[in-house]
Amino acid sequence: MIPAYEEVVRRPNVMRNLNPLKNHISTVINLESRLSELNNYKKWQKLMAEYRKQGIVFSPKLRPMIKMVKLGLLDIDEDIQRMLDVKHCTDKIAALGVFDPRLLQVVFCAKAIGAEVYHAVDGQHTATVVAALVDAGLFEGETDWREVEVPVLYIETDNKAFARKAFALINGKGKKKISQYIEHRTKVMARRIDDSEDDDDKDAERKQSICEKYDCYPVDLDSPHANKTPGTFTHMQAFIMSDKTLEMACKFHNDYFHYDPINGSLWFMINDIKTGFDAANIKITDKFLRELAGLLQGCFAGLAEFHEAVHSAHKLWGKMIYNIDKFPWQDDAIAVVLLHIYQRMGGTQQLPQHMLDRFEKIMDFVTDDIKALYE
Amino acid sequence: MHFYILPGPFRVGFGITGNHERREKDYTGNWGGEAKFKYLFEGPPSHVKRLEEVIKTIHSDMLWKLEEWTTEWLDNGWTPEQLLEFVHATIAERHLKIQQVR
Repeated sequence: MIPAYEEVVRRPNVMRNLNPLKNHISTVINLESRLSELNNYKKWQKLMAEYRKQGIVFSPKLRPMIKMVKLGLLDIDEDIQRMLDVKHCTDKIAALGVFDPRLLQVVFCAKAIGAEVYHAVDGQHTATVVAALVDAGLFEGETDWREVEVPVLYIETDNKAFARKAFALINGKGKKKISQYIEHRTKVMARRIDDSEDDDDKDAERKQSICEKYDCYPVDLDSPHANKTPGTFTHMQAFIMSDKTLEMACKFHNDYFHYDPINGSLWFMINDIKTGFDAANIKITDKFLRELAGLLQGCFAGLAEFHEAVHSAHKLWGKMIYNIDKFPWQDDAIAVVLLHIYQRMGGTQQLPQHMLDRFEKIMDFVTDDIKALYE
Repeated sequence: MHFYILPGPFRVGFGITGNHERREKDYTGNWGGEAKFKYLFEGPPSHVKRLEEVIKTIHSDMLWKLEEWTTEWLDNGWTPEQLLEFVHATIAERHLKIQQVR
């Protein structure tokens, strides 16, 4: 018998006030406060102590310099830079409706010592596109691309190995990558603060609002709220879902598991159930969703432990049936296993057969305490 | 599966185990002194694991941290009885199918 869902006392969600995306006016913090934050970090303090202990100091002259340099003076070492991606130049950088001169980036160069020779270590695509646009007569009053100046950030060195390392550093190794959360936040803030009319920004803001309506809050992976504060989630693929499915998932979480952070399985579970039921033309009722919540709460104490149980069964299934140690995970197993358990525990809701036919054998590999729920 | 509360030589500890008697012996072997779980709870594995996760994630502020390492010992000041009260409250609030057996 499926356990009935038992209400859990609802507390005001702290993220309503802490949510960094709620702002509709921009927040500006000066560098001094950032400096203070870093200076108060214990590992930073230890690092600085180690520098002092080793007597390390740097010459200010080693810092990169910036200069307006004529495009005609730029060289590209093909053994350092990637090959020119002409498709990227055409379809991405210079695409109609996309190219905006204000968004051009600085070109990173290694400058030969004592000579006006600049080897671009990053930004060859930008430089090439600017040169080509000038060459095509698209910049007013400019005809000779060789004479056009662009901002160049450079270090003086004759050491090619150093230039090679600089290129690797700029292209990812040394940079904190922009997370999917930050990409989403940028779009939401562009809409909320700057009234952006960009369709991507509008979509992101609309989906953010759906989440907030149900006390669901995206946070970055390194946020102190991740996996800790009720209603938070780090799985940004949630925003790929349609508005309807996203709303259904957020509502499900808020109705039944508002006291937990959102487990990533929620998005797959709801998305696959919605898609599977829609395909079979079966209506998803509130009664059915409440039954699922009762099953998840009563048998698994929530989604996190259910998710783990499905992973374990899936792994064992792959090992025992197909003799594959690292059996590739299939996230649609989450919804299907839930439906199998629901049916075996006496659930009466009609279920899409095309879903039940998948992963049926996996049920042989759930743990004995789960089998005991329905056997 | 079991959830235990353990008064340690320096702090109060907790954890889950499928064999509480053997786990007690493990602690005894490590400490060089007899370890005994003061409070013991029993329940289905998913509920017991959830209880532990609630403490380790949602209430991780309670835990003793060494640099970046978060241990399964409570920070200074917690008594076994305070943790016991917290566990009872969590079980009741979340309707966990866990019972105290010691």
